[in-house]
Amino acid sequence: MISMRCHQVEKYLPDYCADALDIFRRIAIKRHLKRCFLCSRELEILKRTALLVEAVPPKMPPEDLWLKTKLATLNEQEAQIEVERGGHPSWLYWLQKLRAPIAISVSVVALVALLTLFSIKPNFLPQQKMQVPYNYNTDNDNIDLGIYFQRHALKAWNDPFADRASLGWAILASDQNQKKIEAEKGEK
Amino acid sequence: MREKMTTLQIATALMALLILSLQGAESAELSALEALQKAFEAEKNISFVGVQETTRPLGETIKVKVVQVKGQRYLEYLTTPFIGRTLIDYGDKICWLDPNAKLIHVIPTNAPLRSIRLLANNYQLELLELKGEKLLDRSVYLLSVQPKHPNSPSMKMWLDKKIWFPLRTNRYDASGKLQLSSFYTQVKFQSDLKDLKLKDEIFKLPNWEIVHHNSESNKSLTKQQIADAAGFDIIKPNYIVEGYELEGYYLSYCPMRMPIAQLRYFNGLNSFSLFEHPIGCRGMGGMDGMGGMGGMGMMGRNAGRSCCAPKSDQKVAFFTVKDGLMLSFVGDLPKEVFQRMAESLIK
Repeated sequence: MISMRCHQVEKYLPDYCADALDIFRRIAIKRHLKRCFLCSRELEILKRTALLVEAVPPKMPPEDLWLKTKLATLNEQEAQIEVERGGHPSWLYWLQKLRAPIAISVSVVALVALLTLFSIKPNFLPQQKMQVPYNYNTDNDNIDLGIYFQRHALKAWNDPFADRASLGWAILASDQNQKKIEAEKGEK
Repeated sequence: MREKMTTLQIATALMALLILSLQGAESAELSALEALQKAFEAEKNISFVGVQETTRPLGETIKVKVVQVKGQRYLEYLTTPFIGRTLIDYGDKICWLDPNAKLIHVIPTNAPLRSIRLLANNYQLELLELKGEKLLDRSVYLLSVQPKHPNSPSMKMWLDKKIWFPLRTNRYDASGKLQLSSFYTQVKFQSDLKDLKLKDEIFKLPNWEIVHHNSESNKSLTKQQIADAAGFDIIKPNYIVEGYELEGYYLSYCPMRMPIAQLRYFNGLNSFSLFEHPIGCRGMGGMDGMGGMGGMGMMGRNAGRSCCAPKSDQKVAFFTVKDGLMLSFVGDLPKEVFQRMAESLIK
């Protein structure tokens, strides 16, 4: 039978106290305790401590402990991944930690602010405005003008003292002009 | 006593003269307005056959045979390039005959004949008796129609003394320059025509293919109706040149089937239109990829090419872009006036 020394016995005392050792080690420790006052005393302290712990009523963990722990773990893992990807600044980490409704609200507010900013055109910015005065004469032709003048002429047809010969001429002319432009486009 | 009688007689005579002169002035004013009304009625109702010539400022002349029977009018062009082309006005529609293609183009004109109310309101009328002056061997009055407000054209009409028919009409621009002179070189009125039934024949259309131009709507809509149909908010000028009234909103479509809103302003004699359409429409403006720079197309690529448009139609087109819309003013007004109205455009 192997005889044990005090420092070896101390190592196995908690398990001995809990009756969790094999038979050979248990016998060896028992022999040592019979002849060693210090280790016997240590065992007594251990047993008393165990009794005290058992006397304390058990405290149940909160129900969301698992969920919180899991979320915290996931967040830490994601943050760790982001950092590993390129060391993004901390604001991104905190942004990711924002809940979805808050993130959506912030996006909507930002969008509205941008739209408002673009709808107000300050004077110092160039205006999207173009004014091209154009005098209509026979040196110019354009389908746009033809349509405009034709429609303008048609509306004047029933005006008092309208010169229908001229208006009719304008209608025929603009139509012929349009046909010519369409034919030119067709050839191209 | 005798002296008192003489003084009383003189006073009575002066009073009578004053009353007579006042009555005379009133009757002259009334007769000018009446003459305008009678000329307006005669011009659209009297049946006649004639040849009308219209001279334009650049010297070009349009000669047209005119037959008017029962409010319907037949126009046959006698000058190039539209020689032989015929246009028949049935009152509610215009039929324009294309003999080369054997086509009849039907354009509705369901807008009622506009009254002379605005003309009488915005213009000063003066009727002058031209003693000894005759047109086509007919005695005539001269009716001068002068604008009360600036930037408006004017007109002079020579009216037949018997039937008040306008035998000659001269139109002047806002600066007083002659723009158009239209007169009859031959005319036979209803009383001279023996058989008007024969003339009815010319209003019958040939058996050609008919092309209906339904896209050209002549029905005036409300601003909201136009906005709903066109899909964009209508922009109106805050400043309107004096004497002009918004006559109506009209909707039509460009060749690319994009909506065009037309706002027509009228002062009784002259009109101008404001056309509005989205700048993305390639059928109107925005040519050859110019996109929103549609107006540049008028000045750039297409400048300097031949045109069949009438030479004396000295209309001005003025373009501006606002809120994604191409806005074009067309009419007989100075460019500066269009510019001022364009600067006052609001939704």
